Amino acid sequence: MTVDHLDDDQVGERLAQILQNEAHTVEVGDAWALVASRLLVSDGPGAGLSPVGSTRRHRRVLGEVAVGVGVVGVAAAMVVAVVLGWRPAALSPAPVAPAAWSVPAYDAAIPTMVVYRTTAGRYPYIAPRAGGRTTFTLTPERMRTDSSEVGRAALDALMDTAPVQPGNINWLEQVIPQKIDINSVTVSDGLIRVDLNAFASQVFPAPEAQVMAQAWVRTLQDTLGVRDDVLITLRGRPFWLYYAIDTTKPLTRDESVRVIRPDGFDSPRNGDVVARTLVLLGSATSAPGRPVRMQILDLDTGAIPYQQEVPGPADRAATVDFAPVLTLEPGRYRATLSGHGAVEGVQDVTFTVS
Amino acid sequence: MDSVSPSVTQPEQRVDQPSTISTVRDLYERHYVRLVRLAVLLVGDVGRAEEIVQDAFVDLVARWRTIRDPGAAVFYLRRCVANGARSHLRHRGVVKRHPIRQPPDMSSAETEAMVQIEHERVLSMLSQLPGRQREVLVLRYYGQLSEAEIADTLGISRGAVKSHSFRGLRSLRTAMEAKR
Repeated sequence: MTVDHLDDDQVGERLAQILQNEAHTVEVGDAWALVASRLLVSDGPGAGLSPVGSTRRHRRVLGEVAVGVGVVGVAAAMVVAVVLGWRPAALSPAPVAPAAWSVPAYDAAIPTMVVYRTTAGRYPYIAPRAGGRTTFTLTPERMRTDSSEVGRAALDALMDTAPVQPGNINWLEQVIPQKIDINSVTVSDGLIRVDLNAFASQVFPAPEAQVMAQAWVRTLQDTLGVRDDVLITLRGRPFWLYYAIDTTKPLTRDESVRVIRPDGFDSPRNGDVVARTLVLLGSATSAPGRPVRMQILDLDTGAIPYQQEVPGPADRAATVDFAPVLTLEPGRYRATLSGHGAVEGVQDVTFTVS
Repeated sequence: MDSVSPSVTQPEQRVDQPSTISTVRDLYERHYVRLVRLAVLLVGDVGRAEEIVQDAFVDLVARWRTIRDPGAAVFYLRRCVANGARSHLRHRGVVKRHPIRQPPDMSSAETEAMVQIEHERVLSMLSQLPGRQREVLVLRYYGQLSEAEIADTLGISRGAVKSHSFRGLRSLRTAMEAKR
């Protein structure tokens, strides 16, 4: 056994080596998603980015969640649920968006929200949302609204949801609250201008963020009935939409984004009480060579006041939109959609005509 | 010492949000891992160290408009980490990251094992040093900062840095010289 006598330099050198060795045993994961998710917009006028507070005990959870969301987002493969406005029944290929869109004219007398969404694909998901807003919904949306500001209402509806993976994702919504407040939606000078008051979101991988941005573009264009590019600002200034998309330049519609139109009824909803004259909005996907069918059954009399069957193409699947305008006697009805697409089999809603 | 991209910010430059995010992302990629490791050496806990560094990045953005010196961003981050670590340790009260381990049977110890023993002993001693001494030694011998930079980072005088360094090294020397 020996005893070395070390001077300060020798002690320092050994300490530096020990610290280097120790430091390199520390595995450090990528936490950018978490950091970015905490960079929210402050409330003061003209303010730039500022952090949002979060209790420390939640931060590690948030990090795991944020990373998880990213992974899930990639896996979800950006399937966009396309919901078209009021238009006659027509065949269109699925799941790829048609090359040309028939844009319905905007009629303020019949406000129609056209909400495009990313979706998990096969599984419409509805779950209660604890805290904050009452319901988290991921369903086909082709909603009619009495809002006088339809574009804004459509975006609000869009922002009520987020792309998700099938399964229990409700808790994600709780720990990463979304906050997207819309100041205004205007159409002028060849642009659809959307100004936000606040924007906070989960962090999405760039490809998924692109899809989400397309959801904004299509929702606005098809709701307002114009094809102008979309300029999104945050209190009048550009920002990073979903922390991935620079909004300095207007967003342009990109038809190459892969979309599907989920099957099912959009209006009326189950349990609705509707006026005698109504529009039934729904979509169903046919298998090659197979038909799709919409039928309405009068539950009081057993009569079938409406039935329509549309044959699908022999060589491919196709989505059929139904939008019959009907006048029904007061009573209870069941509307049924039969198809072979993303939502297989029969979908039905029961509603009351008053 | 870590370098800072000239694009961090320019005096009087209006920092819009896209460029802020982009710059912070760049800073993150350059410095995050090293800052976390620095914090680990200060607080002895990886999870807490990550939180401290993430807080530092968020605070940096909050104060972005007040930063005028291109080199200030990294300096600010480092100071946030040091302050965050100190705050954490003050709250926790005691550091027990490196409990003193019993040395192995000396009759079978190889050279490598002896090095490891010294390693553990030094880290244990480091963890038991007064906070300022530990901060000064970690910033100097892991962070590779000068006395002036350490003084700025910790908000103390250069004389105090020298004093803490001297005392800290003296304590560690004891650990290194013991029963070698």
